[in-house]
Amino acid sequence: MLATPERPLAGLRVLDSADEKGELCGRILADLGARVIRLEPPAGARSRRLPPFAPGRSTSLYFALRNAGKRGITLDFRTPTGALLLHRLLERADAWIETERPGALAACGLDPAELLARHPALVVTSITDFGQDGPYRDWQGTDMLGFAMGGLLHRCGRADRPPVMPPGSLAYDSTGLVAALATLVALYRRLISGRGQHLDVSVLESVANMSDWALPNYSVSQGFQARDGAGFYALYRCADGWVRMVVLVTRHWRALLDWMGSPAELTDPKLDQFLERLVRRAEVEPVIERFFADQKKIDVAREAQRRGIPVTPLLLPAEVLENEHTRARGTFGALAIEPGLEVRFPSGLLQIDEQRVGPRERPPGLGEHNEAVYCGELGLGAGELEALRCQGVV
Amino acid sequence: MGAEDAYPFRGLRVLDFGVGAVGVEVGRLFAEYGADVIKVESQARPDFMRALTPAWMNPAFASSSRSKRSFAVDLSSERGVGLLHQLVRVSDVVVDNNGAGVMEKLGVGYEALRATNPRIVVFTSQMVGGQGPWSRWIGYGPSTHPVSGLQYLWNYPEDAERPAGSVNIFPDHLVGRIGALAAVAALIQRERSGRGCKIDAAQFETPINLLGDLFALEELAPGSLRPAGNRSPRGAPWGIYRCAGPDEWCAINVRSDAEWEALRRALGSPDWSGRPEYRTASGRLAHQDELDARLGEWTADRTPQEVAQRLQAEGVPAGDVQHAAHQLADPQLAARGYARVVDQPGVGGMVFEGPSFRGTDLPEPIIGPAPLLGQHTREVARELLGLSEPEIDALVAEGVLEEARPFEGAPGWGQA
Repeated sequence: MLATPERPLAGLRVLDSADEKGELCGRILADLGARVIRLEPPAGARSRRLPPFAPGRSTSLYFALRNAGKRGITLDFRTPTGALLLHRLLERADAWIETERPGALAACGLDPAELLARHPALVVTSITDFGQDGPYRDWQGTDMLGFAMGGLLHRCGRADRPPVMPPGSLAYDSTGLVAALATLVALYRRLISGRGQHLDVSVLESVANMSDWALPNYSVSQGFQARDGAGFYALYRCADGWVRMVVLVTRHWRALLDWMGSPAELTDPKLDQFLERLVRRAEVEPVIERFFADQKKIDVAREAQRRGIPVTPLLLPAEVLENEHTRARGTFGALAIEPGLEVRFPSGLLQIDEQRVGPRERPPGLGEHNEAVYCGELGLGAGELEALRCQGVV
Repeated sequence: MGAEDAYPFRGLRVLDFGVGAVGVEVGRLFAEYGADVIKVESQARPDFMRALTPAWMNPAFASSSRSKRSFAVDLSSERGVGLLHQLVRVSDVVVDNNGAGVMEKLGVGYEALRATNPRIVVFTSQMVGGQGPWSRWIGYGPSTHPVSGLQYLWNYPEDAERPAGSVNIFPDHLVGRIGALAAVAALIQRERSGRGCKIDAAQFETPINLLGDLFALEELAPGSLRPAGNRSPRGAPWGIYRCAGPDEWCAINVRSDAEWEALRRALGSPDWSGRPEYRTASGRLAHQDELDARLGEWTADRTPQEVAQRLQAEGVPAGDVQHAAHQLADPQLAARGYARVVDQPGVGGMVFEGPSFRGTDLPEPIIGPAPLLGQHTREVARELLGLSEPEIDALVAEGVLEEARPFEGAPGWGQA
């Protein structure tokens, strides 16, 4: 058996005090091999109290997913003693991921410019809802606001209903991943310059960058895609559920016609054109609907794909957890997140050289590594740590 | 090099086999920070986004292929594959999101690339991954929604059996960013190891990983996972409210009792809001329907921007549900200089998206036009392959290399 290869960011040291906006940033850096220390206020991160919870427990699955593989310490860096300790931690760190409100760090003597003067090789990644400047700088943000203001929400849902949010926290989690990209760009830059820097990452701009070219398109056509259910990424009812079929190119359309036995209603060669089919949807759709109606969704998907037509079956959550494909890929894995509680978490976003890159360890308990970090690494005595605890600093 | 160049990726070369969004966006992020990003295409195998419109140029394609060069080569010819491998020798990153097995068939699969250049970092991404019984399945961003749980969960709770769907291509743009960050991590590692690697991101696993806590709950309590729509157990009122104007909406999230009191102040403390059961989160959660109705009456007479201003002034999270027209007028995006105007040949003046992040030691991203197919074939062949003009002419005549065809007349986008 070969030894597990070293992960790409082995040796990198990251301090992570991010809230929900940026928790996935530290997670992916840890997945990639960085040693990430999760820094929480002594009362615990807010996300430890966010749903979903493990049934019958106060354990937040939200926190567990986004903090797996990190080490955990507590610190109130708003106190003068806490700020001093933070400096000592930053001396040993390559990057600090933080999500304080704009200006809040300066207010407790931790202005990023001064931090960089003292720790010139440090990368400070600041993640905020709207950015470090601008008229909305001090506005309150949430995941929903990010998804809405970033331009993704307006198109989601049925035309006759309000826009509808996706599950989870896709705006915040996406921003965390964008912040990880920014951090790594800065660390790559540091290889040449030897210098760190202060990064300004916003939820608003991270989400706006994923709004499917709406701005470029609008700037030319003065038009935008209205909310229209599944639109031309159509959904069809089958005997036991639904499938999605995305037929944009002529090759796929002809393969579909062939499969349906070239129905008489659809022989017009003009229908080879996507735009023509879009305009004549009322004519085209019923034929396809009838064809799929009495087949099973998985059979439709398999046969369509065999014929080179992009069809995927609509899977219920339980079917995502357990199907031949996710099983073969190891999409999910078991992770013991606390004593007596093993959960099935997705095993990671990436594979490198065919090895899955994902969380290898459970999320930290509150202050679990205080002793290891403060005493073992910073050289504090056990008595000093106890005193800090009594003062509420850790 | 003389004066220090602050672009972090200056000196790196990326060969971009991306199509659509995923791979193309990885290339974009490298190009913006100084890498020489070369799109590898051909008349027979163009980036399909390019080919969606008659002039083979349109705003969406241009945005994602900004600031790149285009090298058009026929990879069905042995000579073409040979030339490509010559390029791989002087490149650092190869990006691909073609179907599983396509690159191997063209003679540019990972093993072949690595044999040519052991330092090459390869990012590849398929809809449902390169391995597994469904790995040959094809599709687009929206095709990942049904197989990742996103389709089922992205719905109105009262109508869960009938999927609502979305025309969004999520997670394509996000997978592009994941690809870029993983490639940069691999480049950092390469400084130490001297070796490249192969990075693989299955597109459908991105939503699955982001929804991992929900799947864990489903496993622990089967059947419990249902669409939640616009509500949340985190607080109330919490949702999307109709505003004045056609299809205008705002988002409001009250996360605490203090924010509820702030919301009341913003509304001028109307009588209905004074009920004692509204004072606590549990009380508000139990009376969401009536709260939403009352709040919706108030928002219905106001523009979403007005609602956001009024509520934010009191510290309540509220914002407008923006579409592209809003984005262009948004004061925050304007103050941040988000919209970048570029003169794009084949389109004209158009707006590109600005960056998602900036840094004190990062220059402004390079945001320039996208190339025509084969626009830089000759230049790349000369500079990087060391070919003479007569050699290039001969290869173009044989159809191994392809050069840009100038636009006939002015068939710009929108005149199709």
